[in-house]
Amino acid sequence: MPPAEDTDLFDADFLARLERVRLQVRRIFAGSRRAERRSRRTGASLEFADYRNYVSGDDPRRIDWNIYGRIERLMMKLTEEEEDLDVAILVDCSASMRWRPAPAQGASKLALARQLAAALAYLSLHNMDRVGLWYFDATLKGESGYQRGRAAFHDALRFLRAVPEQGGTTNLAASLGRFGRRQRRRGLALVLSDCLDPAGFADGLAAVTGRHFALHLLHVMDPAECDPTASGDLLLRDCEGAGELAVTAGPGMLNLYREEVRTFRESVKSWCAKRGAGYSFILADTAFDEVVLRMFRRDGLVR
Amino acid sequence: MSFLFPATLFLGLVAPVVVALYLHRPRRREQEVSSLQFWQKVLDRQPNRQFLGRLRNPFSLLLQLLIFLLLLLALARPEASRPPGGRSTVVVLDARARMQAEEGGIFRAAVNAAQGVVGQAGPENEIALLTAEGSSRIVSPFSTDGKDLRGRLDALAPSDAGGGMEATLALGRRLLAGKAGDKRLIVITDRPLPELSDLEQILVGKPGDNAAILALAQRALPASPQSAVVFAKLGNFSTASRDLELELALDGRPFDLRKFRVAGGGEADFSTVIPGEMLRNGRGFLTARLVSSDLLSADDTARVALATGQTLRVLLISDGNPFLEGALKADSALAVEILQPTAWRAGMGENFDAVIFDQWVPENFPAERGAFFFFGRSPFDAGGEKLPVLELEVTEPQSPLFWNVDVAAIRFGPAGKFFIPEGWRISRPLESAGEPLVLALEKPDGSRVVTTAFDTGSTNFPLRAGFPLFVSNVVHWLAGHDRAGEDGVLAGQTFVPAEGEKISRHPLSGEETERPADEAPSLTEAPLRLKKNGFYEVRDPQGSRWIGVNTASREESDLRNAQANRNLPFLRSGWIILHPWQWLALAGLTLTLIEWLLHHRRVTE
Repeated sequence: MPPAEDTDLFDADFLARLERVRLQVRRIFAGSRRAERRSRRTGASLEFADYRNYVSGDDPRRIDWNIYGRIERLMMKLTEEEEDLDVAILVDCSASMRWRPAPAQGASKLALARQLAAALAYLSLHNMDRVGLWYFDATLKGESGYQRGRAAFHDALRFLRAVPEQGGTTNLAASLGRFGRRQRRRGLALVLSDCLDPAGFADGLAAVTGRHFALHLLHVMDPAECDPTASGDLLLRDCEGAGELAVTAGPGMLNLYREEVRTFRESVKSWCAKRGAGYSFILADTAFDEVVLRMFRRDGLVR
Repeated sequence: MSFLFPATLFLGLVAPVVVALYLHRPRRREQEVSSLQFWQKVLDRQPNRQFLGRLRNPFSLLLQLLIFLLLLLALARPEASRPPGGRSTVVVLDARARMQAEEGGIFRAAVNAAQGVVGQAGPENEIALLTAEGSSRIVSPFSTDGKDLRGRLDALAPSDAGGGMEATLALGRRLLAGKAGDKRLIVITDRPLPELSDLEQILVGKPGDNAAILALAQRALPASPQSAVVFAKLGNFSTASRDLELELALDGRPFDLRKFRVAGGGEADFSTVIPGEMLRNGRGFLTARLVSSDLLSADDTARVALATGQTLRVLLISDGNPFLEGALKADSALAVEILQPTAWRAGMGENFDAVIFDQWVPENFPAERGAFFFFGRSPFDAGGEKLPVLELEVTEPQSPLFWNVDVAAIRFGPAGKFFIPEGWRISRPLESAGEPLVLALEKPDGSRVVTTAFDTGSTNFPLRAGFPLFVSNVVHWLAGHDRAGEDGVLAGQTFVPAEGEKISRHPLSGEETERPADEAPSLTEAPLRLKKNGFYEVRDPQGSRWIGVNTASREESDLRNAQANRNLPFLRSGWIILHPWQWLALAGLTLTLIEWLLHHRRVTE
C-alpha cells in the first residue's frame, strides 16, 4: 500500500506546464523507431542534415531544385532521421531514501524522487521516447519494462505508486551494475538517489556510464542531513542497519559534519563532471515544480 | 577537626545507591540517521572528540560522588579543632561621633562587619560586644547566642562623643584575661590604631574633607554683665581652602550669618556680642551652625546656653546711702527695695536674690541663710584699731567681683581687719599689705557673703565709675549669676549632679526650645553620660539651668586619616562569614552546577 503522500504524484495543472518543456539529451543515440529525438541517421524530418549527389534509385522528392537552378547538378537534400530514445529512470528506494528526521516531519527523499521520476517519465513519453522505470536499493527491486506512447504514462504512475514495502541497504555498484548488464540498447539513464552507499557511489555510477549510457544524476538529500541541529550526547543509529555510533555533538562537531557533507556533494558533482554526466542537487524540501521547471532547466536536463 | 553530628557520616553507606542510580539513568539520546558515514569521518578526523566523549561519563560519576561526599560532610557539621576552653572574642565597636560620617554609612559598615564576626558565635566561640563612645560600654557580656548579639548590634547607634579608645581596649583585655583558650580582640573602627600583637583591626573608614565648629564658648560682657560675648572656632580639615558660612540662632531664630574663608588645614576664630536686650526673654539657647554640608554633620552644630536676664530682687537695709542706691539703680536688671535696719526681721532674705546691709549687721546673722553683702560693717570684723591702706593689690584678677573694675586710682582711708570664719570657702580678691579689703565667702549650703573693710566715708571709690560695676558684680555673684562655668561641655562626658540636682536624660536640639506638651522631661539624679549633642536641663531647688553639649573635637572632625582594610581581618579570621559546613555545602552546589553544565545540560537540550 503506497503511503498517503504518494496518492497524487502531481496534479493536472502541473502536467499542463510540463507540456512546454522537453527532455534534453547531450549525446545522440541510435533509436529503433521514428520518433521526435534526433539521431545519427538521416531521414524524413524537417531538420537539415547534409547534401549528397543524386544516384539512381533515390527518391526524386528529396532533390533540391534550388541547387540545381544555381549549379545545374542534382543534389539530394538530407534531413535528420528523428528516432526514439531509451530513457531509464532508476529510483533509489533504500532505507536512507525513506528516512525522515522525525516521523511526522516533512516528506521523505523517496517521495520527492518518485514525483520527479513521474515528471521525467511524462516528459519522455510525451517526446515519444521509450521509458523504463526501476526501483533499486542493494539490488533491482522492480522493473516496469520499456514502454512508448503517452498512454504508457498511466502504467508508469502505477509502477511508481507500487513502492517496495521495505527499503534495504544501498548498494549502487550491485544494483546499477546489474541494470547496466541487462540493457541491450544505449540511452539516457536518470538516477535518483542520495548516493549514501557505505561502499561509495563511484562504482555504481561508473557501471551506468561504462555501458555508454548518458547519465544524469539527481542527487536528493534531506536538509536535516546537510545541516543537523541535534546536539548533546547522542547514540546515532544507521537507518540501514550499518550500526551505531556514540557521539557528543557540539557546535564544533556540527561544523565539521557540515564540512564533510559539502565535501561529499562536491566529490559527487566533480565525478559526474569528469565523466560528462549531468548532475542536479536537490534538497527534499524544495518545491516540486521549482525543481522541474527551474533547477532541471539550469542543469540542462530539460529545455 | 571534629564533627557536630558524626552519625551523619553513616549516610556514606548509601554511596552505592548513587552509583546504581548513575548506571540506570538514560545514557545517550538515541537518534536515527540516514547514514553514519559523515559522523564517522568527523570522528576519524578528530579522534580526541571520541575519547573525550567517552571520558565525560566517568567524570560525571566522579563529580556526583564528590558532590555526595561534600554534602555528607556538610551535614556532619565539621568544626575546626579548638584549644581547650574554646575561643573568646571581644568585639570593640567604635561608636564615636565620626562614625556618623557619610550620613551614618560608616557606622552601618562597621555594624555589618561586626555582624560578620558575631555570626561565628557558637558553643565553642563566645563573643562579648563593647562600644567606645567617649567612655566604655558593655553592649553584651560574653555570649554564645549569635541571634541575641545580632539583635543588640542592630539596636546600636553612634554617639556624638569623641575621646580615645584606650579605656575600652583595656576593658576588653580585662574581660579576656579571665578566659581560657584562644582569645581575640577585634576593633572595628574607621581609623587605624597602633599595631599591637593582640589586636585585630577592621577598618571601615573613608577619608574625606570636613569642616567643623571646634569650640563655642560664652561669657558675660565685662562692661555689661547682662550681655554675652560668644566665641567660636572653626576648622577646615581638608587640603584646599574653603568658604564656610556660620549661622547663629538664638532660641531657634537665626539672627546672624557670617562668612569665612579658611585655608586648608587651618582654623578661624570668631566672636560676637549678644546684647542683653536679646537675652531678656527666652531660654538663651544659642546655636551655631555651619551651613555648608560635608561628610560629618555632628560637628557642624554647636550649642551654648546663655544666661537670660531675669530681674534680680535686691533688699537694701540702710539708713540712706545715695552712693549705694545710685549704683543699684544703674543696673537695670535689679529691682531694689529699701528698708530701715529697724524693720529687718529674720528670714526676710529668703524672698530676695541678695540682701545688702549698709553699715549695719543684724544680731542673728550667723543663723541666716542666703546671699548678703555687708558694706561698711562686717560680721567678720576682728575689732581693734584700723590700719592705713598703703598699697592695693588685686590678688584674683579673674574674680567676678572686679570684672571691668579699675582700682588703680582708688584711695582708701584706714580699714578694719577681718577674722577668718570656719566652714566657709573664702576668696580675697583685693588686699592691702596682706590684709583683705574685700572678702567673698561661700558655704556648701549655697549661702554667699561679700563684705568690705571700708565704707563710703573712708574712700573715694563711690565716686569712681567702677563702683556701680563693683556693686552690680557683687549682686550678680551673690545671686549665683557668675557666667563662668556655663560654657558647653563635650559630648561623652559624665555629668554628676550635685546634691538636690537632677538632669534631663534626653536633650533638646536647640531649634526646639520646649518639649512637647505631652512629653514630661525624664530627669535623673544619677550621673548621666552625655552621649548626644543638645541642651540638657539641670534642675535644683532654686530653679533650673541648661547645659549645651557639643562634639567639638579635632580628632573626631579630621576625617583625612580614615582608612578601610576589610580584607586583612577576614583573612586572618579564616573566612569568618561562613562556617565550614556552609563552605562545604556551597562547594557541593557549585560542583552540582558544573556537573549539570558539563553533562546534563547537553543531554537534555
